[in-house]
Amino acid sequence: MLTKLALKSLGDRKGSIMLSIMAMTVSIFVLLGVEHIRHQSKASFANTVSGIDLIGGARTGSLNLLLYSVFKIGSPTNNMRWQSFKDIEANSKVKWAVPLSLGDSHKGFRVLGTNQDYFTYFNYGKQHSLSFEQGNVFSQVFDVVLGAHVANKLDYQLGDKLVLAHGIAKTSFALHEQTPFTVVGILAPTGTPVDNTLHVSLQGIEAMHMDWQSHQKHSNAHQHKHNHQHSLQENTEQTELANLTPKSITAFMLGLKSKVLTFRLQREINQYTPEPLMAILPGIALSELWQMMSILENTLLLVSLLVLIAACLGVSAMLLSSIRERSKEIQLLRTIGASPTFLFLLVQLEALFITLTSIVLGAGLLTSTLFMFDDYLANQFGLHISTNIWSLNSLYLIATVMAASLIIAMIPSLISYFQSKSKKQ
Amino acid sequence: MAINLSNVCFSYPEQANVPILNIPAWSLGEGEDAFIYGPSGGGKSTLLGLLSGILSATQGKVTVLGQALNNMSPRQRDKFRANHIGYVFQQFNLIPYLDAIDNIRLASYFAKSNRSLDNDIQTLLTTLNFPEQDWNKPVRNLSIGQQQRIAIARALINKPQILIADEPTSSLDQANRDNFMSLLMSIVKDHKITLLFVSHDMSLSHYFSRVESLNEINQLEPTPCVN
Repeated sequence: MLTKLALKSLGDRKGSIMLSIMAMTVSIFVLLGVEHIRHQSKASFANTVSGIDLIGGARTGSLNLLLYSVFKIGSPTNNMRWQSFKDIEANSKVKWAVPLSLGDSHKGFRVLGTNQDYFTYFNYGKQHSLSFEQGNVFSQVFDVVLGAHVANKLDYQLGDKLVLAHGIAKTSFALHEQTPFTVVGILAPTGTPVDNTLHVSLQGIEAMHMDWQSHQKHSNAHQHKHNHQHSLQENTEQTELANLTPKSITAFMLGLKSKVLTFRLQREINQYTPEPLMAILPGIALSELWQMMSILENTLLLVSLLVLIAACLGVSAMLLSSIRERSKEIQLLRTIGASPTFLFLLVQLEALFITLTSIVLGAGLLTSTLFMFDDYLANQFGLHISTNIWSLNSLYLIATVMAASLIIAMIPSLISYFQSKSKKQ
Repeated sequence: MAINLSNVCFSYPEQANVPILNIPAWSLGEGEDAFIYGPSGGGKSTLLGLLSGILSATQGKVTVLGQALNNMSPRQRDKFRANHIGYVFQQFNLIPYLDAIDNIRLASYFAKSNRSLDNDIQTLLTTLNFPEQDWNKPVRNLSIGQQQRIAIARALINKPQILIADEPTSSLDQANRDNFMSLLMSIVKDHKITLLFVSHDMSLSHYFSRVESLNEINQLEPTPCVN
C-alpha cells in the first residue's frame, strides 16, 4: 500500500515531478557520462599500445610523438631520415623495428606507411596481435590493407581501387589519382585507432609522392623500342618500384631483446648525433597524459557532482512544498492510523522513485547518445567508447546518487515526521 | 464504558500556560450516541484528538474501551486507533487521487487485520448505495454525496467499536445533510457502534439520545489546569 500510495501521489503531481525528474536525469547523464568517457578513453588509450618498448621520431614533445604516431591524433612536426632508422634498427639491443610514415589520408581516414613487420609485431589490448578478417598483408607497392572500421564505413571489398590524398584533411585537392591502390586485406576489429587506418607499404608512399606517373611515362618511352619484351618490362617496373627506398619516415616503434636495456637505448637515441631524435616509453608518456588530463577530469567530475547536488536539492524542495500542500492528507493518514514513520517512509519512497526513474532515463539517454556519436568519436579522436555504460564504477556512482538523494530527501521526510507527531487537531 | 475521561487537562506544548481543555470527569457508555456542540475554536477537535490518541493529555487519564491511552506508546496508540476507532471528518478528507476502493483499503492497511477486504469493501459500498461503475474513479471526480458514502465506508471498514464524527455535515446542503445523518444513524444502530458526534450546528441534535455542550464538559473556569 505504501508503494501504491507513493506512486499515485507522484502521479497526481505530474507537472512538478516531471521537471524534477528532468533536472535529475540531466545531472545523472552528465555524471555517468563524464565517468564513463573518462574510464573508456583511458582504457581505449591503454589498449592501443601493447608490447612496444620504445617509440621514436624527430625531436618533439613526448606526448605529441605518442599521440601522432600511435593514436593518429595531431600532426607530426618533422620527419626523420631513413638512414637514422636503419642505424637504430641495426643496434644490437633491438629485436624488431617498425617504421611509420604518416601524412596522407583517404576520405578523412589516416594512411600509415609501414612494412610487413607491423602486422607481426604491433600488439593491442592484452598482447593481441593483428588478424585479418579478409585477405592478407600487402605484397605489391600499390596494395592497401584497411582497418575494420574504414572498410565497413566506406563499404570497401577486396579488389576495390582507391585513391589516397596528400594531407590529413577530410577534403583534399591533392589527390594521388595516378596511383590508385588495391584493397588486398581487411583487418579484424581491434577497438583501437588501427580500425580507422589504411595501411600501405613505405614504397607505396614513396611511389605516389615521387610522381610515379611521369617516371613511368619516361620509362615507357625508353622501353617502347623494346616492345617485344613486354613481360620483361612489367617485371622491371615492379622490381624498380619495390626497390624504392624512402628518404624519410615519421616515427618508428621498437621491440628490444631485453627490457632492462630500454633506458640505455632510449638515452642512445636521445643522444643520436646525426640528427635530433627522441625515444619515449609509451607507458610513461601515457601516464604524463593522464596527469595532464586529471585536472580536467576532476573539474568535470566536480561540476557534475555540483549539478547532481543542485538536482537533489531541487527534488527536496519540491517534496517539501508538496508536504505543505498535502497537510490535510498527512493529517488524514495520521488519523486513520498511519505512524509518523509511515509518513517518513512515504516521502523517502517518493524521492527514491524520482531518483530511480531519473537513473533509468539518464542511463538510457547516455547509451543512446554514445550510440549516436560512436562513429564521430572514433573518426575524430580515435576513441572507441563502448555503449555499455555498466561497470563497477558506474554502479558505485549510481549507489552514491541514490544515497545522496535519500539523504537530501530526509529534510522533507523529517519535517513530515515531526509535523505529523505534533500536528494540532 | 466506551470512553472515560478523568481530570484531563490539555495544552499545546508551544503554549503550555494556555489550557485548551480541562475535563474533571466525563464518560460515554458502549452503544451510546452523543452529540457535543460548541462554538468553532472551542476545543471540539482537540477533544477528539485526545480520544483517538493523536494527542496526549497533559494531565489526567483518558480511557477508551478499557485501555488507558496515556500508558500506550505513540505506536500503540496509532495501532489502537486504526483497529478500534472509525473517523469521519469535516469535508470527508478523502485522498483525491485514490479511487473509492483504495481510500477504504488504506484505512484497513493500518489495522491489524491481514484478511482480504475486497468482499467487505464491496459489501459496504453496495450497502451504502454507491454505484459500482464509480468504484474505481478517483474520488475527486465524484459528487459530494458519493464522497460522503466513501467516508462512512472508510470509517466502518475495520468494524470499529467507536465512531467519531468531526463536523461531517458542515459543508453539506440541507438535503445531503439529512441523507447523511439518516444513513449514519442507521448504520450506528445496526452495528451497535458508540457514536461521538461534534458540531456547532444544534439543528442536528434531534438525531441523538444524548446532547451536551462542550462548555459544560470543559471547565476552564474557575479552576484551570495547573502544570
